[in-house]
Amino acid sequence: MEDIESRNIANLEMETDKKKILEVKNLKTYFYTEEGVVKAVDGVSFNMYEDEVLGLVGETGCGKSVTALSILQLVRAPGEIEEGEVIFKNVDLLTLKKKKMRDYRGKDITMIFQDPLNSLNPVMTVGTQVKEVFELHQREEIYELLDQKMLEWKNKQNRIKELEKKLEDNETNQRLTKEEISDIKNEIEKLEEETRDRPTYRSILREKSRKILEEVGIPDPEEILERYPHELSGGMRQRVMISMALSCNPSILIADEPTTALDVTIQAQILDLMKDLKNEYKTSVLMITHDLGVIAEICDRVAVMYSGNIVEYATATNLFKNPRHPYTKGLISAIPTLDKKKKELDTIRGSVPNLIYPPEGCRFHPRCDYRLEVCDKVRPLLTQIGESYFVACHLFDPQYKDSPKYEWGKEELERTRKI
Amino acid sequence: MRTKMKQNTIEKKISEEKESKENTFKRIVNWFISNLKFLFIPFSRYETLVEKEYDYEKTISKRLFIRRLKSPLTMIGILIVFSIVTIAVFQDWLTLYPREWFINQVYSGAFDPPSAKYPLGQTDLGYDVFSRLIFGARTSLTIALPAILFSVVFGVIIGIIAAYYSGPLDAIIMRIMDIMMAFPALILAMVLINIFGQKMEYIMLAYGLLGIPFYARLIRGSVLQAKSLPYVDSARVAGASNLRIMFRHILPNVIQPIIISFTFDIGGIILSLAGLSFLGFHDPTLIEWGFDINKAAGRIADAPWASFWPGIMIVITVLGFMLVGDGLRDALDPRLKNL
Repeated sequence: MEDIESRNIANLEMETDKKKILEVKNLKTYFYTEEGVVKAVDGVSFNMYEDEVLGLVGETGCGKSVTALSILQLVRAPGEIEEGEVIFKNVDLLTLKKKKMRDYRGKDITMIFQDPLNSLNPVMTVGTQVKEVFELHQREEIYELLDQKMLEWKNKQNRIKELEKKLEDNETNQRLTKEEISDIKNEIEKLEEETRDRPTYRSILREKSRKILEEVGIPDPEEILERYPHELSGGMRQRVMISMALSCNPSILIADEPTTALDVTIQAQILDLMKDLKNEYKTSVLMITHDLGVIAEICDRVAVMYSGNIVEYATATNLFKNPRHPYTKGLISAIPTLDKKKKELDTIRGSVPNLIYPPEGCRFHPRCDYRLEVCDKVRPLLTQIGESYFVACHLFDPQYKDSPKYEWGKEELERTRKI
Repeated sequence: MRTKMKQNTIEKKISEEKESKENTFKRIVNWFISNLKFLFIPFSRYETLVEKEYDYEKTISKRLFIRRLKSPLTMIGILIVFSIVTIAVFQDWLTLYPREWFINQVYSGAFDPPSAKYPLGQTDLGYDVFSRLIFGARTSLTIALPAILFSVVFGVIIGIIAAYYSGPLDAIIMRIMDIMMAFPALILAMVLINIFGQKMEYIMLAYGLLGIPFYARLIRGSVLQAKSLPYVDSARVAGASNLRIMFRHILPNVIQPIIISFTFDIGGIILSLAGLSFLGFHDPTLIEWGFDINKAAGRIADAPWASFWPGIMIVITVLGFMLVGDGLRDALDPRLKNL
C-alpha cells in the first residue's frame, strides 16, 4: 500500500515550464471528536505553480477549508495534522516551530475568508488593522524607509537655509538680478511646502496603508482608514481583507470562498479585482470554492475534492471539456443550463458520507453510477491518464479497468434516491 | 475637526449653487457634469451615498448612546459619584478641622448634639462628625479602587489565558478559581489582619484576591465565545502572536461586562469595608465611616447623629456607584437590561 502511495505522489507533476511553489504531499488532518475520529483530510496531494490559480472544488464538508487551514497550520483543537508534507520554497512548513511559522503567515502565505462581514475586528478601525500587518512583517523596511526620508527631509531643510543665506548676502552686495531673486523665493516656498510635515514612522505606515487600499479600488482611502468595519459594506470589507492579504506581497494567497457571502454583482467585481491583482503581484492563488462558475472564470488548474480526497486534478480547460471522474461529471451536469428545458435538475444521488466511518474502498462508490465490483474493496489513487491529467478512479486504472460492472439493485437505488 | 471641514465644504457648495443659479446655462451644464460623473467615474455615486449614510449613522448612534445614558436615575448616580469624588479630592478645603485633630486626641463633649461649632454633633471622643464624614470619603475610595483594579487586572489576564489556551490549563486555572471563590471574603480579611496587623494594604489585598475569580469567570465566558469568531482567524493569518491576539484583538471586544461589573463592585467593596471596620478590623490611622458607626452604635438611642450620618454616607455612596453601573449596563449592553 505504501509503495503505491509513494508512486502516486511522485507522479503528480504537471507538464508546465512554470516553477513549483508549493507542494502538498499526502496531507492528513484528523479531528478527534467524542463520536470518533473524523478524517476530514485523508491523504491530499497537489502542487501549486508560480503565477497560477489553482481551484479546489467540492461540496460542503469535503475538507477544502481544512486543507487550506492545514497549510497554514491554523487547524483548531480537536483537529490535528497527522502526517504529510507542505513544502514551500524547499522548506517543510509542518516541521517549523510556531514562531518561525508566524513569519510565513501574512508575509509569504496569506488567506482571505468567506465571511468578510466578521473577518474584521469590530472594535478596531480599518486603518489600525491594515497597519498591523505592515507592523508585524515590515517593521525593519519601514525604518529603513524612514531613515531615507529623513535624509531627504534634512537635505531639503539645508537647501532652504542655503538659499536664505544667499538672499541675505545679496542685501549687502546686490549681485543677483531681480529674476534670480524671484526664482530663489519660489524655490524656498516650494521646499517649505514639501518639508512642512516631518516624516515619521506613523506617517509612512499611513501612506503605505493608503496606497494599498487605493490598489484594491477603495474610493477615498484616507477616510476609510478611520472608519470602523460596521460602517463599510460587504464588498468594501472584502476589498479591505484582500488589501490586508496582499500588503506584504505574498507568494501564495489562499482564498476560502471569497465571494460566497457577497451578491452577484459584487462577486464579479471582487473576482475581477483578484484577477488583476494576481497579474500585478505575481501571486499564486489557491481558490477554494463550490462554485464551478468561479473556477471557470479565473482558475488555471483544478483539483476536485470529495470526502477528504482529491479525485481529479487537471487543467481547467481539460476538466471542463472532458471530465473523467463520475463525481466531477455529476457536478458539471448539475449546473442548470438555459438551452435544455428540464422539469427536474440533474443531481448526484445520495449524500456526503459520514467522515467518521467513510465507505471502504472508493469513497464515492455508494453514489456512483459507473461502479465496478472492486470499488468497495480497493481504494483508488491518483493516477496519470493524460497530459497533466490525474484521476483517482478505477475506471481509468489499467489494473482494474476491466473488472466487472456492479449491478445496482432496484431497492438500493430507491434507498439512495430518498436520501 | 472633520465635521468642521465638512461644514465648510457644505457652505462652499451652497454658495457655489447660489452663484450658478444666477446663470441658467451654467446651471444646466453643472447638472450635466455632476451626473456624468456617476456614469464615467467608477464608485462616484457610491462614494457620495456612503458618505451620506456614514454621517447619518454617526449622529444616530451618538444620540442613542447619550439618550440611553440620560435616564434620570443614572444622572442622579453620576451626580452622587461626582460629588463623592470631589469631597475625597478636596477634603482639606471642605473640613472644619484639620486632619491632625483626629489622631490620638480627646476633646470635651462626647456625643454632644449639633451646635454652631460642630454642625453635625460630636463623637465619643468629642470629634466633629461632619469633618469625619468628609475624611471618610477618601478612605473608602482609596481602598475600594485599588482592590478592584487588582482583581480586574489579574482576573482578566487569568481569564483570557485560561479561555484562549483551553484544555488542561483551563481546567487547572478554573478549579483554582473555584477554590478561591469558596473562601468567605470577610473571614479571610479578618484572618489576614490578625496575622499581618491592622493595615490598609492587607485589607485591600484580601478583597483584591477574592475578586479575581469573579472577573476571571466573567471574561472567560466571553473569550470562549469570541475566540472562534472569524476576526481572530484573520489575525492569526496575518501572523499575529498569541499574546497580541489575546490582548489586542479579543480583549477590547469582551471588556464591556468588565467595565459594568467594575462600577457595581466599587459599591460592594465600600460596603464590605464598612462592615469590616464596624467589626473593629480597620487601620487605626484612617478615618472610616464603618468604624464611626461601631463606636456610636451603643448610644444610638440618645445620640443618633454620631452613627446616623456615617451610615447615610455609606448608603449614598454605594447607591451612587450602583446607579452608575446600572446606567452603564443599560447603555452599553441592551441585552442585559432585563436581568
